[in-house]
Amino acid sequence: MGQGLREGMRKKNGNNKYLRLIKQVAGLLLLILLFDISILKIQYDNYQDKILIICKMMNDKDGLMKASDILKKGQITNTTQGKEILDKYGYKLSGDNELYRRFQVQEIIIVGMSFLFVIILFGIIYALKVTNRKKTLNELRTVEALIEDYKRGVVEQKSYIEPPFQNEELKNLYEEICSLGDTLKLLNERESKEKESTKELVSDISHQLKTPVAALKTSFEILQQDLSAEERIEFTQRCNVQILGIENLLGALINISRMEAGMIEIQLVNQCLFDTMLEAINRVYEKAKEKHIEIEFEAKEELKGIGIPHDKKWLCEAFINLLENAIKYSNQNKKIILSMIKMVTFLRVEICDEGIGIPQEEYNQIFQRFYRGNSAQIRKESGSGIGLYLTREIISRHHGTIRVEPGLNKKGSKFIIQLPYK
Amino acid sequence: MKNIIRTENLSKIYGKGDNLVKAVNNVNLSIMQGEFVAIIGKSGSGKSTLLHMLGGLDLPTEGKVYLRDQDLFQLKEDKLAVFRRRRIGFIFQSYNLVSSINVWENIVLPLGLDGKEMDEAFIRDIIATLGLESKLHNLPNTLSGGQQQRVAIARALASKPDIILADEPTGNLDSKTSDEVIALLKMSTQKYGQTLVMITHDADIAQIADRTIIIEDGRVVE
Amino acid sequence: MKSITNLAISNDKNNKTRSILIIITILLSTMLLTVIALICYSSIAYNHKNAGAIYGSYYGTYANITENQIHEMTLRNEFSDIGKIAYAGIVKSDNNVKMYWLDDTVRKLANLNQNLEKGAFPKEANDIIAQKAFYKSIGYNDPKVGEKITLSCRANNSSKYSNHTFVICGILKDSKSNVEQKGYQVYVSKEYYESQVPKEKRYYSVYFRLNQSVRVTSDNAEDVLKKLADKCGIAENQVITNNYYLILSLDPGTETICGGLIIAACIVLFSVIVIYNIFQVGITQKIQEYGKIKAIGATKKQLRAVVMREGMTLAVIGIPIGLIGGSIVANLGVKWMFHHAEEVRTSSIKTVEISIISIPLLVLVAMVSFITVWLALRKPMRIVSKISPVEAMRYQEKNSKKASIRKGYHTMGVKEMIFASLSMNKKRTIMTVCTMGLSCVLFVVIANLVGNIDNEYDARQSVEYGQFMINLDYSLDDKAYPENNLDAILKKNPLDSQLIQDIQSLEGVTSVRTRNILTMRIGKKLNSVLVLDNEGFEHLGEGENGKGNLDYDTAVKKDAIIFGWSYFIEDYGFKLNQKIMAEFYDAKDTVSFEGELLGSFGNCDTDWAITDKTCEKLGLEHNNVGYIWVDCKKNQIIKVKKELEELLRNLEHIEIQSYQDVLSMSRLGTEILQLACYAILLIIGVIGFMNMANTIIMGIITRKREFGVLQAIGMTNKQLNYMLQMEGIIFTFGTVLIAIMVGIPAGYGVFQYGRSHGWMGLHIYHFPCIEIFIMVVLLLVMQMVLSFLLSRNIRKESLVERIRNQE
Repeated sequence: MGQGLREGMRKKNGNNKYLRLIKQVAGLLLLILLFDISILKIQYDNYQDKILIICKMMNDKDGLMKASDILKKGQITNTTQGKEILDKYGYKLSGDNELYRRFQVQEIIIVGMSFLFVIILFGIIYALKVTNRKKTLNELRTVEALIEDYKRGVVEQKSYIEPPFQNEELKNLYEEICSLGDTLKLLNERESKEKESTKELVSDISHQLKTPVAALKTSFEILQQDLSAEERIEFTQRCNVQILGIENLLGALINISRMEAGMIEIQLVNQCLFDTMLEAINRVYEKAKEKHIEIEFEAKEELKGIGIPHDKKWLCEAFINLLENAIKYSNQNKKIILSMIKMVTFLRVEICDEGIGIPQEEYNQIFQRFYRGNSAQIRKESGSGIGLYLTREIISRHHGTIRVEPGLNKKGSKFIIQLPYK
Repeated sequence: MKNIIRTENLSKIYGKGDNLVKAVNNVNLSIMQGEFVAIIGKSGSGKSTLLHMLGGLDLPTEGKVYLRDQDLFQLKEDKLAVFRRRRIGFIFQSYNLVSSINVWENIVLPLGLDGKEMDEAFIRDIIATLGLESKLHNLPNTLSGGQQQRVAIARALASKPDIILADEPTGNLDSKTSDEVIALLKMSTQKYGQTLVMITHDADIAQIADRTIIIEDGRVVE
Repeated sequence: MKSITNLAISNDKNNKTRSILIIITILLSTMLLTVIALICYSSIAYNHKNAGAIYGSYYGTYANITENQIHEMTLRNEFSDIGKIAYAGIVKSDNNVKMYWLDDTVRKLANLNQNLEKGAFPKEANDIIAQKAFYKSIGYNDPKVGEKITLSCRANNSSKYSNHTFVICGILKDSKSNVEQKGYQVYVSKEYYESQVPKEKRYYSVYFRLNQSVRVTSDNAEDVLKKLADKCGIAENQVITNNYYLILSLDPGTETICGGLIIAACIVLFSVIVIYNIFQVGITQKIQEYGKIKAIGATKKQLRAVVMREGMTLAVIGIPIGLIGGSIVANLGVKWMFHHAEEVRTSSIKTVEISIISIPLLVLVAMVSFITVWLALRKPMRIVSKISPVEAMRYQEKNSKKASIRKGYHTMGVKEMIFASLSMNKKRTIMTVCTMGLSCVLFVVIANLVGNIDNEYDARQSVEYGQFMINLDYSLDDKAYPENNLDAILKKNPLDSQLIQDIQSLEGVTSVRTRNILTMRIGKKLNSVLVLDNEGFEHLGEGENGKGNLDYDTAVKKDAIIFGWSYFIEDYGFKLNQKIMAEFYDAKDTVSFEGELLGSFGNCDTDWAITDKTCEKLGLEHNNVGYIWVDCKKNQIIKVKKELEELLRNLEHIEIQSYQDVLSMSRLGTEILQLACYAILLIIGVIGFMNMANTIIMGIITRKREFGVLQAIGMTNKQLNYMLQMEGIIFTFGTVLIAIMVGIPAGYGVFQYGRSHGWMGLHIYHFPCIEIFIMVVLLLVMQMVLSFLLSRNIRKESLVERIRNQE
């Protein structure tokens, strides 16, 4: 908006100024022309007179009488005969004699001087124009400076002193921007209030976590003491849960160490990946159904038949791991979307969930052995921290890659797996 | 596993007095043969400088670089060039290719410069893997960013170097192509037992590397 | 506006190579233009100023004018200076001694003041002034100013001689001509003249100049003077025009100016192309920058202004240096030329030194140079102003847009890289090679011409045989002094058999040849006729531009006559095979002649020619020797020359020319021509080389990144150097190829054209091997030096910097 306004102002002013300038210049030129013409006319008459005098003198013998005639009456007559004689002797009167040449020189001087005068005048006018423009520019700069301040967040209450503007429109603009500044200030204040409340929430949550952990510890300590049978059963069950978790962990660990010792072979056979993925989905289907989580599988027709060299058993395991994580760390009624995308050298598989997501700092760490996240939700679930490590190993053996990035709308996680065609 | 790259107190310092800039400050690292190492750092953290020194492209102010137990900067300029073209493959972030020659010529250029006989079957294999068969006669300006990087990779692989040094090879690519290029590099180097050292500011890529080295203000942090 | 100028200046500073190349180009072309302008100006001015000094600054003379007629003249506007000279009598002496009175105006107009050696011209009644030799001839061996001498003189043939005492008021310089004078002119005072000749018998010769307003050219001068004479009551036959002066001083020098303008136009065109190229080639680099500038808000006009100011800043530096350099070179060159020319010239006339610097001309040259730069910048300005910021960021060289597929080589190496990079930029490569090639073509053409000037052949055109030529010095229409006309001379031919015998008996003379000459009256005019024997006839017949039948035997059989100047045959109103009727005169007889105009020589010394047999038939074989050629041994030349001069000392109407002198003049002329041509060509060549250097440099700068990459993937420095050198050599090779393929046939053509038009010394065609060899070597050396410097420069920057940056 402001831009258009400025454009309009400039144009109008520009047009006005041009017109004025042209008028001034034209008037000046006319004046000078008149001036020149009159001077030239005078000089020319002068010259004519001189010639006539000379012609006259040729004519008559009585010089003194004729001279007094001229001086008294101021007129010069009877010159034709003289002109003829001079013509006979080759003196061209309208052209090349000394007197005429002198006249020409005078002509040049007069015209030249007047041109110089015009140029000087032009210069003065131009200088005035420039100074005027500078003034307007300065005023514009004041407005710009104000906007700059606002951008940087420096919004000060400007008391309504009359700003020193010559240009009416600029003054209005300036005042509009001042009121904009007031609005900005209000917004700023609101934002800082919100930040404050978020900080409070975070510290509250971390406070909360401490409690259950402390409770677990207490349970175990209590088990050490004398307890009633029921109590013992209760706390033992709690310990059972823990032990189950440990069992899972152990199982995964054994797998990993076997893998690392080379006792597990991964055999790459060219087979349909689509089927492998379907199998993985089928195996986690129950768990997903429990949480009312929907699993979608997107793949173009042509991709459904594509063959990738892989070990069906192990790759299936890898996918199952990923899917299980997705289910574990998603709430009820969420979606998990699998998709296959054809790239040039690799087939790209994306598993996108709407779960709790993974903080970016941990992206590298999650693939490490025994790493589990720190949030309460993760701690709640049973997990050994080995799943992703295993998955990564498997995919590596397939000459593929896996990485993670935020899911759709920055919620949840998206795992990206690339597997080569050959 | 053998130690294929090793640096000793490697430093690169620019300027004097108030303008002193320590681009690389006393870096000691060693990289094993066959490793995929990602060097991560923000812009201006000195990682490019480090990579260039590892490849013998830039002279360090202090310290040494050993490639296969050969002190790089003991070699004379031309000998270093020969060493480079036989042992190292470079992939830069952009402007990798020579614009006046086509894709095939770009790929076989290092071999030609060395006067080596080319293993044509091997090269064709790489080209096939990278999906470049149909573009062999194209000039680089007709290729997209991703395709150009592929050609650069092919060129780096064609001479079967021991080490591949890649400087932000996915800097100019979109995310899907980026992923693929990284996967490609990893796959090839694994296949041929080459060492891959890659610079990136994208931490996501580091997820795929075997080892991550973080550089901050010229110093190795992790 | 200041920021735009600053931007332009910093752009120039950043682009040091481009700036330096452009400054050098502007400098050189300005210098060249200055030199040409000043030389043209100086040759015209020289002619104008010195025409008067050589020939006298009067437009003409009227002879035998009365004082009344002079009065009429003074009244008229047309006559601006009028001077009188009157014949005051004759002094009794063996020599022909005439007395004159002249006024100051005549002295000035006829340059007599410069003959004054001591003292002054006559003021007092009895003053007399004459040459030292005259004083000696009457017995005063050591004449001094103020010395009294007595002479026996009379005013005219009808008076008696009477003695008169004069006072020597001055001594005139002796003339340096080869032949000793037989007559003298002495000058007396006005009083003496008026005392000797009564008023009514006074007749003057009037020397005059015309007013600037009178429209007179060297062609219509005679008519104009006659008309004016008529107006003053002076008859036509009293009018004598000072032709040579008029030709030289009134000649506006159109030919010189035209020639100069053509050369200047070529130079301007060439410079425009080169400067444009230099600007253009680097523009791809700058497109991005200009785009950024536009993105931050510069208008089209401002961008155009930036480019214009970039160029103009460089021009402001280069032009003044070029002007000063050119003035110095022109000054030195012209001084040297004139100095040398005067050394060879035999006359003793003191020529006026002219200042070669003409400020209006320098201002004109400066303006032309600025216009050159402006022209060269127009297209770049347009391109830059049309940039859209977005497009600029992605700007790629136009070339690469066209090509997308390339067949390519199977194995790559350094050689293949070279060809690849050259073929990528085909258009630019070819343009560059052509521009440079063009200047080389020019060089070859000029070398063909200038290197083939056969000085001996040229000299032999003047002195046909032997070492010396003695010939009659005659006029054909001298009205004032009819004894100078050929027919009068032949009646008392100084080249008689006695002289020939004397010459033959001189020691050292090996042979003497003669050729006869006759006079012929055809219509009212007197013409000269050469009598040719078989050999002479054939020789002239071989000359260029001959027309008709020039066979000796046919001419003998038909008793035909041959015209002497085929170019003017129509101008004089004759045609081939026309029947010519004329009267022939020799020393004694007059014979009528009727014969066919069988043909015409391109040019021979006389108006007509007949065979010796025809002459015999006409019975005109008396002593009509017109030419004597004397041959002698090489080591006797100086001695024989002295002896010949001794022999000829007292003879009038004789000219002697030495073959050696003519030869050295011809050689000098050729040298000057060669020097001038090669100097200009060198400068043009350097300008062309600037262009080539710029293309090569730009090519390398745009590829710096590529070189960095190449070196990163393993190209050694040696290989890189080899690549650059080879590219340069291919450029040179292309240039040389063009130069030879186009230049040699063109040069041969020009040579033939020149030969058929009788240009100096073109006779037999020799292939200009040496010049071409020098050119090729120079090109190669410049090329290699350039490549070497560039590869050094590349290596200075570290690899990494190259890969990261562009410059």
